[in-house]
Amino acid sequence: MTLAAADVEVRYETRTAVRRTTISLEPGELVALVGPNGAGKSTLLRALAGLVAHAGTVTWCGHALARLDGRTRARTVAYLPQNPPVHWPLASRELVALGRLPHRPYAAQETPADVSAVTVAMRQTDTLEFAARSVSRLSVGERARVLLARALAVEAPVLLADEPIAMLDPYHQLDVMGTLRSYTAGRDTERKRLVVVVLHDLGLAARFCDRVLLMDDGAVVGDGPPEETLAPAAIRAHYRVEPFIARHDGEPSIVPWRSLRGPGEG
Amino acid sequence: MSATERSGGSTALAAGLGLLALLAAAGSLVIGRDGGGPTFGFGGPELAETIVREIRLPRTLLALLVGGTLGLCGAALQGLLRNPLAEPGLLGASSGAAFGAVVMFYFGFAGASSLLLPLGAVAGSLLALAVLYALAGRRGDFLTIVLAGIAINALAAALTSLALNFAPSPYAALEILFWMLGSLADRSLAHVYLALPLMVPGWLLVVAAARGLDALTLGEDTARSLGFDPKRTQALVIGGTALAVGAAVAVTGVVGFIGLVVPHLLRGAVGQHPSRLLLPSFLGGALLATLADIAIRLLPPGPELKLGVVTALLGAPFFLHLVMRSSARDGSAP
Amino acid sequence: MQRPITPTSRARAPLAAAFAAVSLVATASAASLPKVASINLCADQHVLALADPEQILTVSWLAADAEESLLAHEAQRHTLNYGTAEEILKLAPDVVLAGTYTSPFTRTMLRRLGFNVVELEPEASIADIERNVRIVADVVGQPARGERLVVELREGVRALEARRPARRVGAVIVRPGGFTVGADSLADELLRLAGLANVAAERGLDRWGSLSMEALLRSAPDLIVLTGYRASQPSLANAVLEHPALESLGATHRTVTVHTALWACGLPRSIEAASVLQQAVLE
Repeated sequence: MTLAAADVEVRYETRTAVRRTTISLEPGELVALVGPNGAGKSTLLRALAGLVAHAGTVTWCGHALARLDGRTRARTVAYLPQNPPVHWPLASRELVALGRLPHRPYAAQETPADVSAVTVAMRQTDTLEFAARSVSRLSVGERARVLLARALAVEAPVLLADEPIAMLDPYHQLDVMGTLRSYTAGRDTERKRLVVVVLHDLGLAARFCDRVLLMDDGAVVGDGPPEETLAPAAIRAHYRVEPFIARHDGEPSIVPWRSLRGPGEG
Repeated sequence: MSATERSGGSTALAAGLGLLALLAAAGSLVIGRDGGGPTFGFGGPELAETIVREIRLPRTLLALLVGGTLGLCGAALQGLLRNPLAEPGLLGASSGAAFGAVVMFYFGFAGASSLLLPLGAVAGSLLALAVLYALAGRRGDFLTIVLAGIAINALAAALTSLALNFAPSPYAALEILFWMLGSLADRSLAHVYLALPLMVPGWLLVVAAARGLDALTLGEDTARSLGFDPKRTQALVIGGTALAVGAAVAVTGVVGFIGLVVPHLLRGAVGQHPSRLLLPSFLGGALLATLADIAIRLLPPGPELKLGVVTALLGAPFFLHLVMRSSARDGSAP
Repeated sequence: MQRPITPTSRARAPLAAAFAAVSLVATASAASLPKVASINLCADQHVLALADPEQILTVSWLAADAEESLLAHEAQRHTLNYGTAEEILKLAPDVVLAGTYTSPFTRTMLRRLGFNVVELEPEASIADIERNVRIVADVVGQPARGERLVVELREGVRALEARRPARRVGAVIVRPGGFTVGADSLADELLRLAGLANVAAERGLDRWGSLSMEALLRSAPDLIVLTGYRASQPSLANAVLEHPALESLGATHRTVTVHTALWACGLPRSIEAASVLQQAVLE
């Protein structure tokens, strides 16, 4: 079971957002998709989710995602956009329950499986306490967690999340990364899951993720374990910052220390 | 409150509204033009029976059907456009239908048979829809659709004014103007039979979009990732609305505010779910239209007040109140 | 109507029998006259002029308004309707009179309920007036009365034709809202009957176009005909009639006011409008 992108390219009228890319991602992996602004991370993620027109093919278990019917694809790939709108002030629990839509035939009532999926997702994101509260009454961070719970509730084998922790406080950032980690391990089911998450925090990417895809200017320029992909040379070259790297409790800590100016700048 | 409790709540709401609508309908059969009139004439004198069967029954049925259509389509459009200010008139279906009817008047067809008038209106509504799609295109996003609807409304209004300007006589112009204010007076069962075959498919199309509307709560991208095609949802809602509302306007003229106010009133009671709002809005719209029509008949004798006027008088201040209350409460934009 | 009978003892029985026979015939023919309902202002006025009061079940509420109707006083004696099928149904007339522009829903509903609905086209000429008078007279079972009205109408027309002024007199009709009257309308024919020339018609206006104040001033009419309608109530339409340009024209030109009710509907009495116009010119 592989999520494979073959020769995927996303071109807009004025520029190429994602250059010809071929990657292969396996369930059980927590993959960080990192890179400077405008590198094409969100676009690549959307291409993998089938939300943007692209050249090439994206396959899951050998089947082209584009050929699957809507509901099957929705049950296979869950997608959490960056800062999605919430148009109606539903109760948090109802919002999370929207993640079960791909599982419910038309006009069916909620099944026990649906209820349990929602509850588990909310517990994992520490949002159970405001299950009955309207999302319009939540803080930005609380809302972000509810939205993540919605994506988790789909229980899809693939979860693609675009900057899910950007709005969270440190406690919850760590908490969510831990949740995503255990989501890939498949909780109590045998099945492992694939999670691809766009991050800006290199430290969290290095500590929690097995694999890091580094993008710059539309191309994947690094693909491998964090120590390799996020080596100081790569960070200097693509992020144009001097990193401070330390180790604590056996895990790496990467902190951007100083921005680097090129010969013609500053 | 669990999800089953919430959906049970909206079932209770629907049942309550349905019951009230039935009671209102019963009242509508009983209440005559001058506030009184023959009571249930079944088995009573022949005159009473004729009045109830030929005059009040179609009027009651149409109030329920038209009010229900407007409520349902208003709720669906608000869900589609993710905006509580949307209503069927926005797409141009109502004004297109009005223009189609005016053309019938203008060429004198309406005099020949009062059924040609509704057919002209349906043609006008479908034409407005065709123009909407031509303007907004297959890739149209929602903002484009709204703008296209505004353009169509403006165009239809201008053409209607033009037709009025060149009307064959001042009497024709007056008749057109009064028709456009919306009325159920002296409609017969023939009008019910004319409207139903268009309304029912329209309703079905709209209801088919229900879950897609729920998915759109989180925006188009999330909706697509949940397996719903926003374009398909859009086509279902717009197509269904054009059919059903076109048929309604064809028979009664332009009745406003029901599609705007009813979903707004009921949204909180269904936990803000767009899909759960559809049936209650249908029933609430049916109830409101029937009550408005009864109110007309309870007024002192005089030329009959137009239904569209009453719904505007009821709807506009209430809507104003809702807007003021919601903006005062927490400043969160609707 | 019975003639007074002087009974002599010998003639009593046969005279009594004759009396009974005559009154029987009279009530029989009264009973055979149709009961009429009218839901259109112009039809109302025809009906009020032609039918016996006992025949009239209802006329529309407009007929009782003196600003709309020449027979408002007579109309107030009858039940007034507001043009809905339910009202008519309750009164059970033999025939219903309507206009061709009365609500098509009401007309269709009445036919559906089995009523004989007779529709009158709006009157656009004196010939139309005669036609409608004959139609209504026929419908209400008073053909003789109808013919009498037509005869009187024709006599009035001939009298007006005889007194036409020799020279050309141009006139413009100013209706509320700044409208005027073109050719092919009743008001135009009445104007010409009075011996005047319709300046607006000469400019090719058909039926009910607008006449700008400027066009009015440039046309230099000899007579300005103002149409009066609810003069005591403020309205934008009537404000036009108080336009300073018109008032300044009024200082140098002859004006005359004709009330709308005289020619909004085409009635035999409408030729009074023509005689008002003629008076204004001949003085």
